[in-house]
Amino acid sequence: MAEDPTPTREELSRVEYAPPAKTWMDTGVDIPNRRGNWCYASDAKHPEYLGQPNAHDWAPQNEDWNLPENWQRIILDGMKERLEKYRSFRLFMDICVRCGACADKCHFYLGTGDPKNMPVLRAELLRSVYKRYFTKAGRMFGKLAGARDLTIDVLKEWYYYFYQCTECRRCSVFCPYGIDTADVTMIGRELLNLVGINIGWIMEPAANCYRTGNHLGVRPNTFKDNLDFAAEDLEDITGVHVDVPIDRKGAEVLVVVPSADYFANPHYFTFLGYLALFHEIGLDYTFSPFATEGGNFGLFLSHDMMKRLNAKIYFEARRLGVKWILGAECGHMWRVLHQYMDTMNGPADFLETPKSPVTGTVFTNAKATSTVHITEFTADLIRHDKLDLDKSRNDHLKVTFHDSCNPARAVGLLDEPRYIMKKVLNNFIEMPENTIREQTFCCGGGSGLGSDENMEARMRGGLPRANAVKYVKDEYGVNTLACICAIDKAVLPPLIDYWVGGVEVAGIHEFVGNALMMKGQNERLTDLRNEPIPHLQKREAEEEVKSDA
Amino acid sequence: MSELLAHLHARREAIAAAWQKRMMATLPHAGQGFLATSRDPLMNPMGATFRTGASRVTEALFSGASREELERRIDDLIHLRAVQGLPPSQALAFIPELKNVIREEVGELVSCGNDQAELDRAIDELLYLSFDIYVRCREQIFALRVRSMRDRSYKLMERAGLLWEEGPERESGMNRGEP
Ligand code: SF4
Ligand code: SF4
Repeated sequence: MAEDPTPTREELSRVEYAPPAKTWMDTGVDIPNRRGNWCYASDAKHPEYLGQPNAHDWAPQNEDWNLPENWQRIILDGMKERLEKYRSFRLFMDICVRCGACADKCHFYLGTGDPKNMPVLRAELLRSVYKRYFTKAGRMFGKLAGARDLTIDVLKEWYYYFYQCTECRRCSVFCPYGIDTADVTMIGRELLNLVGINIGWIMEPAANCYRTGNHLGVRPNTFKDNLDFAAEDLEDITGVHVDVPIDRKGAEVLVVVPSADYFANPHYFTFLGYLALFHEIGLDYTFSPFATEGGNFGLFLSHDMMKRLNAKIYFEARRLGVKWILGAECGHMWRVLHQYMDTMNGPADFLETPKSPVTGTVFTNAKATSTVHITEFTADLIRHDKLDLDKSRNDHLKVTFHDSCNPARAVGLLDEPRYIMKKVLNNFIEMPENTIREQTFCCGGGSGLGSDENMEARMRGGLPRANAVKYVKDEYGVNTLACICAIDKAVLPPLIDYWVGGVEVAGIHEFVGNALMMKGQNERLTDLRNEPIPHLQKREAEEEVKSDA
Repeated sequence: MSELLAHLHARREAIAAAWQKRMMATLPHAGQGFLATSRDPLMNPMGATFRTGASRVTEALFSGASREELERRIDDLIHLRAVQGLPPSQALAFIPELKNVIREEVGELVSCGNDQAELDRAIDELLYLSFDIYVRCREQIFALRVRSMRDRSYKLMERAGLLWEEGPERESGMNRGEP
């Protein structure tokens, strides 16, 4: 007798909830149906402007990516060249023992559960191709030796997963061999770029930066206007008029900021903090009309592009005849300045070893690049008691600190920001130990992934970070999340809004500016956001009542 | 339906654990290893959200909590499901799945008669309110995209018209890939 084909009630009520499991060797990302995970392609005009190879129009969701005919050859040649050029790359391809120590350390893996977001498998996407074409075992045994042919599906996977790595390097902290998956991602993106595959969020700012000096394409006259507007805003708030010098030859210090500082929210308030500080200590400095961007999206594209975008800083330092460079609150800018600038565009032998004109401290750590980070500079001022600070002016804030990946892990700027905060505000609360300092969790939007179309992926990737913020909010009533990175200042507000709510994002020098007592200032009942400082307003109101009586 | 609820309430730990496993199984490979086993909410927020969500929601459901209370308890879970790259049907399928979980854990509840239908209805209610939260989450994502755009050029927007770009008009900008 034939079986009764009528499904049972249980069968009917069961929705297929679990996708079929695959092994990592299987390829094929369903890109069109994974919107929210990937970034849009760049218009060809941006890579064209930058003279990038094989620039062409394409879109991730299309079947055909309009690749050049010999794209495999181009990539394999590019790989060969890089294996010869970067010893670290060959090493990282060869030495992974698949111990798995890095597997659960990536925020994207923790937020997605997608195994190819484990650092070890992310690197394996490239390593499997390396094995296939550059090792004997891979050539002979193929899949058995973990080797894969370079097919279009593999290329699409590269695009999908290398643009789901924020190059944060958290995984490398835990790898016993020091394998830096961020470096592997960088090479992966370089290779993709060789065949014209890149994203708009990186290419457009990079092209703008190459043309005008900054990501948004702001011209020198607009930049000058912005500086003047900022000076006006600061005067409205503090009652103190500050001069903001630009293009002043012979100044002692060239100040370079990430461009978001002078036009984005909440970066702008940090920018006001710098201006107040420089004025108060009488710093002999200048902005450059061309080095109007500390950030460097070249880092997210290729070593060569990073070098080209960075070059303007030394060029301007030389033209303006300054002695040293002061770099502002920025994350990846700092990685470029600290780790690459000297070898790319150095030696900076026309500059001096930075010396604070106020305290006399010589920053020998910055001898090679002649560039000091503003938190080092300010921490030194405070340590020598050179600033008149009223901490209570930040009493309305309960602050925790997010260590931005690059300043923390790439540069080791761990204590300076904390030292400053402890001196300029009363309520500082650390997030749990394994989520800060070297082990900090990424914001989920670094390395050019701070775009909008991938907001969903950013939310997932940023979950571990947001979760630790939620913890200190629930436990201690934290209402402010501080950081020293321009990307963080853009990426954290939506992240926190989604997962936590009720916590504002701010820069360290916003607090410095709030607390800084300036000569000739007004009663200053507001902070740099021009928002009332509750306890000061209350005191003022009480005094008024008293004097009326 | 107090008899059935009391029965389920007594078994709620086992039910929550089984339900949580089903949630994990919706993500490829996540059912095994660290994400399934680590109980540290800071190192494994996704696993922790599934675990505490399953336990808090079943606890409320089996004690006949109000709609508001259920909403509060399932909120974190839906926030997570809303950004896991799943189609809406799959993102919320774990809720009706609770009916199966219960049947498997405690067997057919024949003796409970009408109670069973009422329980099914309560789980349907849970699905409806979760759908409301899900849509709110998605709308929030879109609102955040708009806000980010505004914040990015906050000062420049104040003084519009000062941007300059060489070459062709910037009509498509960074939006290639839009449908
Ligand atoms: S560098 Fe960061 S984002 Fe990239 S794989 Fe490592 S942990 Fe993940
Ligand atoms: S920790 Fe290092 S050696 Fe171990 S799997 Fe990860 S990359 Fe490979």
